[in-house]
Amino acid sequence: MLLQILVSGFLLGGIYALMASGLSLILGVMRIVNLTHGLFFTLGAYILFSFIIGTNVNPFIGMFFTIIVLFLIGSFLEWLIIKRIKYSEINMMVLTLALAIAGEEFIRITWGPKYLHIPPLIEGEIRLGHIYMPNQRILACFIGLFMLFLLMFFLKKSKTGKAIRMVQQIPETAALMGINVRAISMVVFGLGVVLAGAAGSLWAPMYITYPAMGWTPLLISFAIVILGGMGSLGGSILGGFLFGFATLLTSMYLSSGLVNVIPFITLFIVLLIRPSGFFGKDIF
Amino acid sequence: MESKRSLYIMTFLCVLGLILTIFCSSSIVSASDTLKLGVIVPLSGAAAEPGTRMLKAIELAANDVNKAGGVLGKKIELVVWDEEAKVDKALTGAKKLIMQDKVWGFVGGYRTGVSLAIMDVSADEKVLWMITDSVGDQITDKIKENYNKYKYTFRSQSPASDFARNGIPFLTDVVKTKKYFYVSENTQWTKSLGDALSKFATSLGIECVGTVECDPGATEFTSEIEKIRQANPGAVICSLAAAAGPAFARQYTEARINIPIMYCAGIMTFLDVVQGLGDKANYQCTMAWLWDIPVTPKTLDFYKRYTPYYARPGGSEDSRGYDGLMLVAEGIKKAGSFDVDKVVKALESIEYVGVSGKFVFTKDHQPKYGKGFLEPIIVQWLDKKGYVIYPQKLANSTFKLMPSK
Repeated sequence: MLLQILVSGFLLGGIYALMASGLSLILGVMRIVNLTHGLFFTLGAYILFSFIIGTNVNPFIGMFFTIIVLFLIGSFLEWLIIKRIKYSEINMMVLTLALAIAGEEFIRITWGPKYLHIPPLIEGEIRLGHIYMPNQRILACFIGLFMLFLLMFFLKKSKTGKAIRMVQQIPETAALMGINVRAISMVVFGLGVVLAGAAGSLWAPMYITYPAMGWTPLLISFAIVILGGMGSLGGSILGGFLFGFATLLTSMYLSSGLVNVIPFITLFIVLLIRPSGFFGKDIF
Repeated sequence: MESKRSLYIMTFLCVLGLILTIFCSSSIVSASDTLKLGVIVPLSGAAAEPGTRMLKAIELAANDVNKAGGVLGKKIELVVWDEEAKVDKALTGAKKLIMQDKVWGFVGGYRTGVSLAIMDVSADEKVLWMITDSVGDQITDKIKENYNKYKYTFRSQSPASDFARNGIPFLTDVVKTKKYFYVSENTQWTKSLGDALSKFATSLGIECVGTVECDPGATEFTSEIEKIRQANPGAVICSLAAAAGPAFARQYTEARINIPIMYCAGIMTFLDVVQGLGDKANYQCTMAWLWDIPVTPKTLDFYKRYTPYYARPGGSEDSRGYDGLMLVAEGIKKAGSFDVDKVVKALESIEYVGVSGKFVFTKDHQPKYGKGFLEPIIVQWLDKKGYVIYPQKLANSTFKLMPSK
């Protein structure tokens, strides 16, 4: 039984890590507390639904196009709205909250209030003795981790990635050295939206899709980002897995009703010991 | 001279204003040929889906009443308020509906907490309140404790204690077990349901061997399913009504738990939600409030008309929402008056055959439960199709256990 919990916790942690990393990236580079994170998590699921059901396309191809659409939406939103008031942190929080609420209503109007089922990208399960692992969960976990490692590789090795890291560490100097900070902001916000939406589109086939589904993932993402260190992708990965295990161990050995409490209490304890989280502020 | 002119102008304006006020007031009082009913339902947030279905059913009922000539010569006009399943929003809406929209009564109510709050508004303003979906037993208790104050509240939905009784036939007649496990949300109404179920079950010698309470929005149930496996009950009764329901159903099947399960309420009773699960819902049972079977002579007609209108029959919000508004109309017709105290008396002695069953109110203004009144329907799902397995007189199949692999 404990082994099943640990296996399921690991698979859940992969999704949590992907979910939180988008928030961490935007927070780390742009210093924005992005409350639209849950909205894009939800939008990712709905866009994937539209591709699969509307166009009957292969789910993996649908996911690929979902990512492209999300990147474009994120970059456009940054250019249109975010850049205009991002120098006021309070205004930014209010703006992103307003966008999140309006966005949820937009989803409800566009796709309706009904609960939707997105077919799994892959059916079946793997059984090892008493342990079972649905293939969709395995896929979601490993696609999530793959995307994160791809992102880390991009940030470490590519020219744009290095520029992003420079903007995150010394923004004023980056501008002086000719880095187009405006363009970097658009790319970063777009990437953050992609990570949130990808998590949503991997999550939705395992559960159910509805317009308000993004608020709990938003809360969990914040907790993971704080736990792992704001702006740290490595911290988000570690925090995601810890959260996955904490969630399942809490519901197994304490109470299902404490699932939303104990992980956050754990977070407070970690912050008391290490206020900057596990990995501090570096995005890599 | 100037001051005299100003005085004449001021006097003229005041008289004009007075005339306009009298005229407009007269227009409002004399030109009203509609019976305004406030519809208080959640249309946004997590409860938007059932709230929208409730509204659609209430609208259908209002249209049917109006097509048949209205109520004592007046057409029903619905004034809708989105309470978002929040008490503060519901109270604001209730007051606005009374003071600004001048509604005669209220219909609706999803979350028990919201309905309880509106009971006080209804009592203070002496406005009829027909609750069509909230199930908490606290509503019954409130009327019982202070009938004179809360006599304006009625309920077309069965209380949680009756929901609980609906679970008993599954244990005694379908699965025939003496041990069950209860999975619920950590909400007021499911706690009431669990307590009532336990009381009824114990009186029949049936033991509850375990319970879990989950967040309504929970998505991960590995631990809960392992607890069920450990407890090894004869059956599981589940009251996860919202989005948690399908997620739980999917994981229950994936875990290959070969223990019969029945969902008491919520979206797991909806045709397209369960069909969307595909084979992940196979062998699982749900309690239904409306199905394409002739519970009453009116049921099939409503089922056929509601489905194209909203394309989603099956939950209690549909049938009880429809019956709730019809009961208000019938109560006024029986009273022969819009006097709310007379309508209360009329409803207390009414016998009305709706789409859900026969409505007769108890002295606490709850619909009577049992044979000849309101009874449960139990459906088992196989390959995206629901088969009625209880009551036997309406069944088109028998219960099947999941084959063990």
